[in-house]
Amino acid sequence: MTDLVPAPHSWYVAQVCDLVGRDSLSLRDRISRRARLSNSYATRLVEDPAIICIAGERGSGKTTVLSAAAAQLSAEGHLVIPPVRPEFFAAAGSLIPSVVAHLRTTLREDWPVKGGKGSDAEIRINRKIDRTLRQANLISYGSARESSQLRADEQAADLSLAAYADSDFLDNWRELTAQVRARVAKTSKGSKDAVIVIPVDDPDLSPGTLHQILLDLRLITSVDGVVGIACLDLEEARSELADAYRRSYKQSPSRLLTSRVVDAQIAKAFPDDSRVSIGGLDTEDRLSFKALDLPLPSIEKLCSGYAIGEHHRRDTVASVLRLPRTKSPSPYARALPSNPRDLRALAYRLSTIPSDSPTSVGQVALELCRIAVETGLKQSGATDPELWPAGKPFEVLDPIDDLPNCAVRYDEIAIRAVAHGQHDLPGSKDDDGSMLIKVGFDSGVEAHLVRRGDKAETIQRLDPSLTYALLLIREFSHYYGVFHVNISGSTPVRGGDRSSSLMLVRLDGKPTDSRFLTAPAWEAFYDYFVLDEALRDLVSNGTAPHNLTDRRLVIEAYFIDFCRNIVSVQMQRTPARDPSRVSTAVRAEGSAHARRLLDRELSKLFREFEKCLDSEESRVHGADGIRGDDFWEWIEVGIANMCHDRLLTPHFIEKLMSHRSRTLDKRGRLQAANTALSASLESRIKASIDERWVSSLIELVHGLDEELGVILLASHRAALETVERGRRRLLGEAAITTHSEIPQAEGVDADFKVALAALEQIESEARSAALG
Amino acid sequence: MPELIKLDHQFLVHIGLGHLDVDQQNTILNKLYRVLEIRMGQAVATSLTKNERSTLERLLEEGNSEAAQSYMERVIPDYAFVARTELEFIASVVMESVRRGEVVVSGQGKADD
Repeated sequence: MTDLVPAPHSWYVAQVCDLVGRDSLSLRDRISRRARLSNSYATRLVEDPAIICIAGERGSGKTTVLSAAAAQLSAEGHLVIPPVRPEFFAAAGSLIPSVVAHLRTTLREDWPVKGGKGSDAEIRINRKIDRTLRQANLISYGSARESSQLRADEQAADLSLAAYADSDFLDNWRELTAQVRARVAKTSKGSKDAVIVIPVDDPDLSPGTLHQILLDLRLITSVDGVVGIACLDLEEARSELADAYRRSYKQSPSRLLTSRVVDAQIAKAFPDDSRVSIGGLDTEDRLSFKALDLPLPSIEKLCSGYAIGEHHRRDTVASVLRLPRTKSPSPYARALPSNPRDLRALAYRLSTIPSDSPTSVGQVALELCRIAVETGLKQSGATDPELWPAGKPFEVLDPIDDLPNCAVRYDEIAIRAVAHGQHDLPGSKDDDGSMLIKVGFDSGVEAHLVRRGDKAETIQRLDPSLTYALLLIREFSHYYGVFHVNISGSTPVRGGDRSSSLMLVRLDGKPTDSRFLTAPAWEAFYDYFVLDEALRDLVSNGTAPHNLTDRRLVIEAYFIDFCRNIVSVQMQRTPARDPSRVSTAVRAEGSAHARRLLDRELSKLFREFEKCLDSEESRVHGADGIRGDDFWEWIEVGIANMCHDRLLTPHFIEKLMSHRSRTLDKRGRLQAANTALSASLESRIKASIDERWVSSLIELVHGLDEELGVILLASHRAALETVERGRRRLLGEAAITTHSEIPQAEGVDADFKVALAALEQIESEARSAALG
Repeated sequence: MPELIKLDHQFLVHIGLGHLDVDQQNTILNKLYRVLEIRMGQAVATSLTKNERSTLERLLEEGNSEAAQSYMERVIPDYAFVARTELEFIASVVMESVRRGEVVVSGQGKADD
């Protein structure tokens, strides 16, 4: 029966049912046995309520879980009264009369002879219910505050009556429930160990009565065989209980005290081991979500009904929500609501957009983005208008040229890429431990709400759901062009603009710059997600142990595989079919044949480059052909950044540059490319002019521009000398100290002159020796 | 910890320059300190491996002179002896030059000669 609802809620239903059926040896039982006290007295000594809490935020599916659990428990032979909904009943604020009345209603439905007197047992139970109901109403009356119309002696009499009722109620309730359970156990559908289940839905929605309801629940579930199940939003409940606590004092207690008291109330009412917490849906569940009460397909299916993209690719709106290789949800799926109620609303809205209009796909994409931003704002706790003094970050506007239109304000939102996960390339250390290479990729993004003034100040970090929602807008507008976007502020950072985390290299014990391995600066972030997916395979294979004599062969293979995947993403928006083919093959070949394999693969790679460069399709997507331009730039400059003799063999560098020259020369771009490459290398060299590792780059520049190479070499040597001098001075300072104060002075004496001259001579000789 | 080398008036008396006036003494001490610094730097640098030099430089750049000194004692156990040797060399050249009234050509450009 747990398949009444889909996963993950079916799992929550099973948890609730398990908790109801859980055996427990209570303290009350132990006291009763050991001290030989009556059960009645032991109950008054030890409360021991049995309440299960289904906790979750609004719309997370608590009521659904409660209803399904109630059905399941009923099918298992327990007596389940219909859910009590305190927000609807207009009682005096006590739960107990409603519970007793519901119990009677439930029992009567099962009694075989309707309208007749019933069996003896049924009559006894009916009488018991009457008495218990009267007492429950008396208790409720006693705790009501409406008796001020009576005289004082009348009020006192009523309160005394209520107190007696209070005292007798528990005994009556115990006897009643024991009789009911015994009756249920005898029926054909009843369980031998039947319990009475009392579901209570949203007690926190009944204004001002939550505290009383919790007390009542504890009372009525303190007898054996009665279990309460309460659904509520714990955070809202906390807030309401805190308000009620503060109101009960003339002078409000401190927030700390209030918080402690409320935490204690919650812990007593709903211990941790009796709580089932319903979290948000994960990304896979969001994509496959189907509303239980609407005849609609899943969110993903709805989105896949709208074709998007042109020419070689027929994507749909759903295409960006999954990764191509593993079919797992893409990071964009995190922008979807995680709350079933919100997903239901999204599904309904998507279903109302006609599918045959030319602007349908734009409307669907825009609606998806709008709900994603709303969700993101809610998740980030950023819905307060005061946080957006200049206006909301996203707004739907009137269409332009029949295309849907919106406005996004990046004025106050800063988005940047973040990198995680680095792995060591094996054998990446020199014999003296001076070289280390880490490779990896994780195209995570972070968005911050920023106040920009003299200095940009981060106000708060925004939830990833909002970050991905904003990038999703860019994906649909900039890459697919299905709606217009009016942007104010700085657009999100392009992946290629950030310092590359694809490969981190340490040489001579120090970090170098991070520009050895770069990707093209794609405008749309889905490309980075796809590349990330490919690199997960590549990193695990490319960093596997090997027996090659020269570790640079491993790096060359990794580099070729990396480039293969770039080309595939550029053309198809999918990873290469076998992302780590060359890295795997080179390990199988061994050193003898690895060189030949790598030469072949490098040639093949450049043939792929040429196909891509000549393809219209690689340029068409992305506004104004920027996508194609970025790829050209990567071929002309980006790939040559790897050409360092500590990473690649001189043979490979030569072959790479030769292929590059041929490819670019064929297309009349070689000269401009070499100029751009020289400029890029010059900036890298100058940024680290006093580091020894740049000498390999200077050699590369020399091959492109001899004059520039000579200048850079001279600067590099001068910088090294300065460093060396400073280093020796530092080392000298560590060895000695002096207590002298040394001001300059005039005046000489013959001995003074000679002594000074002798010292200057020694100094001069020492400096010459240092430079030599 | 080895005894620190002290460049002060007593040292100048030791090398025969105790009769100079205060200003001249300060000038000589200043120069002496600089020269010793250069020669010690060379001597220590040539004794260390590349890694040891990197480690020591890092400690010095961090301002951690105590740690730098401890590290030096560990990797160059006789560095205090080296410092004294250097100072004795410099002192001997100065004393001989003053005695002769002219600069003695030392012919020793390197500390480890």
